[in-house]
Amino acid sequence: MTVKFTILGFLYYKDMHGYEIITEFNNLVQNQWPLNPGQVYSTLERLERDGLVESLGENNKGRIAYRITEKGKEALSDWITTPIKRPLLREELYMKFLLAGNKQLTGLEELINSQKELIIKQILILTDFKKNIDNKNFKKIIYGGLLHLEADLKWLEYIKEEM
Amino acid sequence: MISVNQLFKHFEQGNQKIEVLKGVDLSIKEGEFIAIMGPSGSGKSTLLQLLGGLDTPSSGQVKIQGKDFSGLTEKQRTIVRRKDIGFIFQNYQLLPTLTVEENIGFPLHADGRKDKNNKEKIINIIKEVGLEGLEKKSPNLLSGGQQQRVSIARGLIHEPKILLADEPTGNLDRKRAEEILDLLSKFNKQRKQSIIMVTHDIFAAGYADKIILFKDGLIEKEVTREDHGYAEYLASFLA
Repeated sequence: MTVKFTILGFLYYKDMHGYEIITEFNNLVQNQWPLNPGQVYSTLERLERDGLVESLGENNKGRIAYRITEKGKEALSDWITTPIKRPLLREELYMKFLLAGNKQLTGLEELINSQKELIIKQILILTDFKKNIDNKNFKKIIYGGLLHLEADLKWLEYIKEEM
Repeated sequence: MISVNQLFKHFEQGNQKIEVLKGVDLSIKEGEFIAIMGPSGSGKSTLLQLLGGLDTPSSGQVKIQGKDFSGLTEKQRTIVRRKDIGFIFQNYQLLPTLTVEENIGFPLHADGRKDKNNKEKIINIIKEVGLEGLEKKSPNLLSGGQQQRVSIARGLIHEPKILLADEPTGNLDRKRAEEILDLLSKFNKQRKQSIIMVTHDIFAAGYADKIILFKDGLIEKEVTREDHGYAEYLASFLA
């Protein structure tokens, strides 16, 4: 879903072929979001079939460029203005905690410790990343990630206190 | 740049002798960003005060650029401190009767020397820490994040080689804390100043090149992100 609309987002500004889209995508996400090139080409075909983009034919290197259609622009605009619903309570970590607590499974303390280690590792990795990139918008994304980690860490500390 | 050799510090309380530092050895290179973490009362802040020459050790040495700090007189220590060391504190420690720019310029005037470049230096650093337009305000009228910016500018105005920071983000929310840490990180990179920061905040410690874990008056371990098992160690230490 995200890949589909990200491609439309690129084509909104400029006609592009698949390879260009892949390069733009990797730059935009600072190589943090693995993208299967095959998925880009198959998505472009689907977008063309659904009338959201149109093919401009092959260039001399055999690459097919695409242009966004009016229908594509509308779909993009709908997507970008629609809020994202995050799962509030449906998380694997919470399920483990509930099972361990309600069903008397052992291993809760080990889970909490190893989860804390993982969060600390992720905090240090994200902070290091934030420190070393210049892209202002991507820094804001990293800040979002750090805020989530802070909330997770607080929750683990709360659980540990209550144990 | 800084070397600490068998540093001991104790305080007398009535008939009791309280040992705060119990033989600390430490070496910090030029341009290094160090975080010191550890439980309250483990001696972190005392170590920072000895590094900055704000207090004297019971025994042992603090050498700054090869000069033995502990062997200097009070007056000589003040000279080294004014030239080579900057401080940032959790509660900012700004003078409420002075304006923002007067607070920032304070270290330049402290030794009575007048320099025609001082004004330019102040204007430049105000720009760098993002306080333009607030120059004439009293620090009391500023937010916590802004006050800490003033404090950073004051700590760096005399271009010290070492910046000592005691819980610089302790009074700030995550957003202001990240802004302050970004600033410190920028100065550390641009000016190659060594930063030694005492903190409880793992997010702040993440900005450092190396984290020193302090316990019962001694360094228990130094860890970097490259060390095997660092996260396990930090997690159990911070538990």
